[in-house]
Amino acid sequence: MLITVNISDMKVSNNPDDILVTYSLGSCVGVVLYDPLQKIGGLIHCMLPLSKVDPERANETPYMFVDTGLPVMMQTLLNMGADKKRLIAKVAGGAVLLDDNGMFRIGERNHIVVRKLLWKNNILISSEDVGGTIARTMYLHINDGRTIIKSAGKEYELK
Amino acid sequence: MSVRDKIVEKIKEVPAFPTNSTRVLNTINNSDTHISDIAKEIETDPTLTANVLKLANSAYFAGPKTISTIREAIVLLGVNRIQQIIITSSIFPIALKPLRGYDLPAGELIKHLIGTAIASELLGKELQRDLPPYTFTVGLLHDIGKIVLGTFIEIDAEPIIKKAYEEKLSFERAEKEILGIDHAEVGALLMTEWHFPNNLIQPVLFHHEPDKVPQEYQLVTDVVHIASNLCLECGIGAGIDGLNYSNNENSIERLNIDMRIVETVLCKLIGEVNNLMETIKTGEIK
Repeated sequence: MLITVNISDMKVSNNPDDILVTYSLGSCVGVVLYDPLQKIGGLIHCMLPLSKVDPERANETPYMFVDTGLPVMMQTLLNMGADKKRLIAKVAGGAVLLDDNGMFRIGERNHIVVRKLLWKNNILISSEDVGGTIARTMYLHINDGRTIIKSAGKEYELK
Repeated sequence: MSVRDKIVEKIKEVPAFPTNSTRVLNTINNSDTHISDIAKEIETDPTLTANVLKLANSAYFAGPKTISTIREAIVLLGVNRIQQIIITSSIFPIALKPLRGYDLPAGELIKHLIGTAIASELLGKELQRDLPPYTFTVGLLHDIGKIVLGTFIEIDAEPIIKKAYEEKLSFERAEKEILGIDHAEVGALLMTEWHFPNNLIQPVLFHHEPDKVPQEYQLVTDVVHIASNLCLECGIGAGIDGLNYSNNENSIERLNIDMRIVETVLCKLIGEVNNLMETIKTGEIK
C-alpha cells in the first residue's frame, strides 16, 4: 500500500507491501531510517529544525521539528524491533531559495540538525540528496529499503 | 507572431471571471450599498450562496458563531471578508486544474494561492502591520498567470529551467528571456481582461520585483512576495520551477522580518491551509 507522509508527519511500517511516500519537500527535510535485517522502516517530513520557536506546537505536532520528530521516529522503530546499530539513514530535501541572502536558510539548518542528531546517535547517513533549488518527492520501499527521489521530471535512487 | 504575442492572444481564451461574482464585488465596492443589497445580490446565485456560507463557517474565516444566512455572514465577518470569500470561491474552479507546463498536479496551484493569501495575513499579524484587506486577494491571484502558461500554452519548461540553472537566473527571469513575458505579467494582463482594479493588478505584476511597484502598493507587494516564497519553502505549489526564486533583500529590510517571524508563520501556515483546502474540497464549492 502507498502510505502518504504529510508535512510535519511521520509513518513507520514493517509490511513488505508498503511504500512510504512524502511529496514536495522544499526546504523541509525528509529522513528515512531503515533496518535491513528486520525490514522495518520509517519516513519523516520535518518543516523546521528546532522546536524552541513554538514548544506548545511541538507537543501537539512533534514531527514538525527535526529535534522533536526524529527521536520519536527512532524510538518508534526500536519499539517495533529495529536495532539501532543496524539503522541506515537517508536524507533528502533542505532546498534553499535562489541567492537566499543568509537570513533564513531554513533548508540548510534543517539538514544540519538532522546530521547532528543522527551523528549523536551513531546512525550512519548512507546517502543524501539535499540543497539546491529543487523540490523533491521521496519514496521508501519497506521490502528492501530502496529509497527513490523524484524531482523535476527525473527519478533516481539514493543508494 | 512572436511567442509573447501568441501568449497574449491566449489570455482571451481563459474563462471569464464569473459574472455573478463580479457583480457582487461591484455592489460591495459601491460606497452607498446597504448590507441587504449585497445579501440579495449574492442570494440570486445559489451556488455562490452555498459557497459563501461554507467558507464563512470554515475554521479560517469563521467567528465563534455558526453562520446560517448570507446576511449574518456579512454582519459578523464584514464586507472585506465577504469579498475575500467570494474571490476564493470564484478562483477555485479556475485554478484547480493541473498545470502540466509547470509539472504541478491538480489542486497544487490553488493550494499555493490560498497558502500565499493566508501566509500574507499571518505575516501581517506577526509583523504587527495593518495590511489593507485586499492583501489576501492579491495573494489569491498573484500566480494566476501560470494558468495561461501552464495549461493554455503548456509551455515547455525544459529550456526555461536550463537557462535558469546555467545563468543562475530566477525562474521568472528565465521565463521572460525565453518567452518574452513572465507569469507575473501574464497574470496582470489576465486580470485586466477580467476588469480587476489597479490595486490588485499592480502588486501581481511586480510580485517578483517588489522594488518596482508604485509606492502606494509597496507594503502589499512586499508581503505577498515573501508569503509566496514561504509557501514554496514548505513545498506548497513548488513544481518544476521549485524554489528557483529570490527573496528580495529590500523587502525583507522594509518589512523588518527576522528568522523568528518566518518560523512562527510557517508553524501556523500548514494547518490553516490544510483546513481551508479541506473545507473547499469536501464542501459545496462548485
